[in-house]
Amino acid sequence: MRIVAVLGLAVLLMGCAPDEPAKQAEEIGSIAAEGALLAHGAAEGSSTKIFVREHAEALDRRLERTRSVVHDQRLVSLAASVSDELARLAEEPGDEFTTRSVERALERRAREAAELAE
Amino acid sequence: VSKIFGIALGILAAIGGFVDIGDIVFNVAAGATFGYQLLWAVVVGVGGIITYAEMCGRVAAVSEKAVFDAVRERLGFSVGLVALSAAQLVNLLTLAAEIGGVAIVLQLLSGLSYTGLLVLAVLALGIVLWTMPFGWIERVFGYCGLALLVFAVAAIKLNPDWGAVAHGFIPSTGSGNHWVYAYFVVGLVGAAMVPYEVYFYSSGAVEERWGPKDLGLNRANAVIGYALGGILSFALMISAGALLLPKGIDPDLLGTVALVAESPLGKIGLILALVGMLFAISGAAIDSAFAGAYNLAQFFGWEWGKYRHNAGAPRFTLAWIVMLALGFAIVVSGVDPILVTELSVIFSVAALPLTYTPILLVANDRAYMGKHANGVLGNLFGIFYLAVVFLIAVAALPLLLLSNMGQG
Repeated sequence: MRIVAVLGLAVLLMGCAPDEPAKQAEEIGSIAAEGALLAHGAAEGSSTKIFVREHAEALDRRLERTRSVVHDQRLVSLAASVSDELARLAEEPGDEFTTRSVERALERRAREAAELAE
Repeated sequence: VSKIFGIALGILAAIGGFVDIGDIVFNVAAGATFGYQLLWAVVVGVGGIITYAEMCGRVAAVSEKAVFDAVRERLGFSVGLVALSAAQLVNLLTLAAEIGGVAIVLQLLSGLSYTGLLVLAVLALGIVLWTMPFGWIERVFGYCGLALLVFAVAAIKLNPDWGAVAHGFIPSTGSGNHWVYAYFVVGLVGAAMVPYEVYFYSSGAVEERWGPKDLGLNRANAVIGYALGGILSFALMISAGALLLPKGIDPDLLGTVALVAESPLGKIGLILALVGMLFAISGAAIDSAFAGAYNLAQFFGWEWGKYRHNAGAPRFTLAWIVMLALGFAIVVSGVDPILVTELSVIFSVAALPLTYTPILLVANDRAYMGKHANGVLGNLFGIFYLAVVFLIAVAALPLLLLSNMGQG
């Protein structure tokens, strides 16, 4: 029973998005940086369209968990912007112009997030 | 020549089958969080699995007893039942995580819906389990899992600081959050020594009718196969440390792991990484489903073994079918497979002493083992790793909470 109880507690702990603003900024920055890396591969033609679309959508779903608990207005705006870029990437994974633009935008968002996390 | 060729093929299968979803998740997360600082923990874990796989393979070859025969005999029914319950819970969580992992990788390859791919994954695994002979299952998934060697190439291509990599093999207390560091130590050792591997390995020795003449093969498979398999773990951690840590990327998705190979190696790296993960995780799903059925059958004295065919061991066959169905039910509920993976590794650590203690006892029993009982070296390693296992078993659950599951 103790194992089941700890399991349940752990699931609850893990299921929650980070609740401190600095941690939330780190999480948003991590997703933005990964999105930029994904977009870079797409722009270089070194990835597959399916992988880029699916992984961009998965990153957006992960971001959604954090967005649901973010209250700081700067983070709200930053997360919304990252989400928009990931959606663009998922929609146009094979378009070089779009993917380059998403890469640059997400790199900027990652830097902004790092500044907010400090 | 054919014997050496057979040993080489067995070693290749052991290398390709070494990594499962727990290894993938913990090694990549450790690399992304602490760089190369935790490479030593992989060495500890690989040493542990080599020690106990060799031991339980030797016990199986000499006495024809697999792990849960020994558990029942050495721990008695009541304590043995506790060990069985813990083992089955962990097997089930592991299996659920692996089924979810297979579906995620298939989704990254095909773009189809996750739920549909879960159904496809569990049906495909069921067909393989039902139709394929034991030796084929081991080899097909082991050989195809070798595609994961792409991460070794990626690690080299990413040009890590090799001085820092070498330094990572020296045990240290690490920098950063100490609870998180300790949590990863426990996770990495636990992922390498996950109990279903020894259940499957020892039962496989009985399935393949090993006898005392196969002790050399057992030693080669365990020592060389697992040691070289550890290279895959090193490669995952080094490439994550070189690519993800500097960018501040926290890997929470299996796609991130594939990205680690895609970034330095392009499309071919991506495809090989996904195919390697697909076969490594599928192979581990099969191992854990079988391990659950082996444990039950050995504990309750049922007929068991793939060599008996499905109708020849009906309760054994029903057991793995039920395991697959329960694993599917867990992941189809919507729970995150990566979360289940982390929990399964940490809970398996808590159950490790109940698996490894009886193996050490039986391997020392001259009534069973005769001249093949543990020697001084075997006992030295066996006792050292049993102490490690007890230590991390005690620490696992507190660290899970203190480190906020590695999130700090």
